[in-house]
Amino acid sequence: MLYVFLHTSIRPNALQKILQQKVSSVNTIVFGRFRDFEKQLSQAPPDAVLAARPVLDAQQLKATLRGIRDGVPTTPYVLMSNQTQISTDALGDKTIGTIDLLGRKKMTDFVTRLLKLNSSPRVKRVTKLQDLLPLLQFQLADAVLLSKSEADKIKQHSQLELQITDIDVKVGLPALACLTPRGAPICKQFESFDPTVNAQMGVEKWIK
Amino acid sequence: MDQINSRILRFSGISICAVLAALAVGCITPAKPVVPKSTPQLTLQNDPRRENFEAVLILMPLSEATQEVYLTLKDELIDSFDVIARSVTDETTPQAIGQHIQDAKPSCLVLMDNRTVHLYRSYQLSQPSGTDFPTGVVVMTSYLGSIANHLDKITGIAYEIPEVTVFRNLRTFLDQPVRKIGVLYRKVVLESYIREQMKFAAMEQFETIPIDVGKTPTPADIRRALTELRDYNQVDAIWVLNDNALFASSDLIAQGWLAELNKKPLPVVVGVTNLVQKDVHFGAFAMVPDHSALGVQTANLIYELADEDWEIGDRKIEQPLSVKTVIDYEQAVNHLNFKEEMIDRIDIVIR
Repeated sequence: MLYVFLHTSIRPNALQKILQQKVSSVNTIVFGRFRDFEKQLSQAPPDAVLAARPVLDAQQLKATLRGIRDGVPTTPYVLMSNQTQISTDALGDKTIGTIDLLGRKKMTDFVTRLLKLNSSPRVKRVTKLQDLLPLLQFQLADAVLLSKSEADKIKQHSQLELQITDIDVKVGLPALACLTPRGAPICKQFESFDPTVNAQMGVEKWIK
Repeated sequence: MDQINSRILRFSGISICAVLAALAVGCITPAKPVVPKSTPQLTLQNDPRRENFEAVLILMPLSEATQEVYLTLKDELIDSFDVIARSVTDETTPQAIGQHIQDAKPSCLVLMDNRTVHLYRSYQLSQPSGTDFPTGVVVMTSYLGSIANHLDKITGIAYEIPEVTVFRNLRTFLDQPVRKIGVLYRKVVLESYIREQMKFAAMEQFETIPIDVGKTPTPADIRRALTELRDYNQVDAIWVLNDNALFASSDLIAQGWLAELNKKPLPVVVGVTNLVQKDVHFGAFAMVPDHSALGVQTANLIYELADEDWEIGDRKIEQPLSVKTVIDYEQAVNHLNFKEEMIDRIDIVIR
């Protein structure tokens, strides 16, 4: 069994279909929400897990393969706000929107750590990348925290006056943890994925 | 709440679906009422109360949609709150609502669906003035903005997908301009709602052209409005509101909407999944609430209220963040320049 908890621009069922075709040796399940992923992970441990690197780290799963883009296994994160650029000096009392990678408490800690804050900001979690923009539009968050590449994509599709603030932080790209002997062949298959499939997961290729 | 408002507040699309189904098989005789899908398998499981845990009481009718929101919400809250759910049926009275509140002594109340909200309002009205009600969060209730003002200590999340979200999505799906949006509405009922939607839509450079079809529109009113939008205003797409009065009879649909829409395909976006059908091309797209994500948004709101000692303050009704998209594939691909590469972003494809 391959569990996938990855936020991409395509729907979870579409990603599941793509991966199931490529990794035919085991069943693939793509989760859209952290709690579902976390519960299933503890109740029925899989042979392999594909997730963003912070997710694997939080679950204490060792990455067997790391996705890389532009030659590195990390991606810069930024803050994106609407109309006014957000200052990194006064984030403690702000509401920060983010994709929920780790559940409520751990996600708040994660955001606090990434933003190098002494106290936790208010964190609004969403389940899909597409839901970050409405957070800004409807003023439910002062800024959203996301990868620079995703921020650039959102800017392409919106006419809002979106502002990017660099925060000088990098976060691990998707990685694969192979957990059982049945998981080993999955790693081999990932290494042979074509660029189109890798692009759907936000990486160019996989390295050990 | 006035009578007109109460009429739009129970939109389900069920009667319209019956008419569309009838049209699909070539018969437009008055449609038999469609009985909502029975959901006897749905149950509410309440865990024993724990010491020192505040309670969140959820009052809800049992349906697949409410169940989806409930399960996600419970999942998100259970580490911090005792979550108690009680079903609301046709037999539930305002007194029963009061009894549930008295039994659970909740810090927060979640009210799902218009029926529940109306019962709760009756309960509030029956209490002596100065009664301290628990903080309430209303979800899955049509046109909540017009209801919330009539309730004490209430906030919530609107159920209708905002125009700006609908057409920002549509803009990414189509290889043709989506800038001018036409909408038929009843000014007497939804003027302030439309005004708010236009404000949000303008931020994304959408121009909204609303046409008032009167309090009780006829098929001719619908045709006239659609013709005006298409031929005079040359709109790029039509936004169909969830207002029963716009679909009150089979004549309104067949001789109003479909008679005009079938002349020249336009991207028509509806707010009910069942209005996208392969045999009758009414809505080419539906954008509907993502109920699981709505559960997460509701949980976020409850945690924030808890952090603020359950004070509503000047908090406004939130807009829903997340949508699911349904597409009439043939209509979209053959007539509306749908970008094929976007198909993996669509939740339900009707072929």
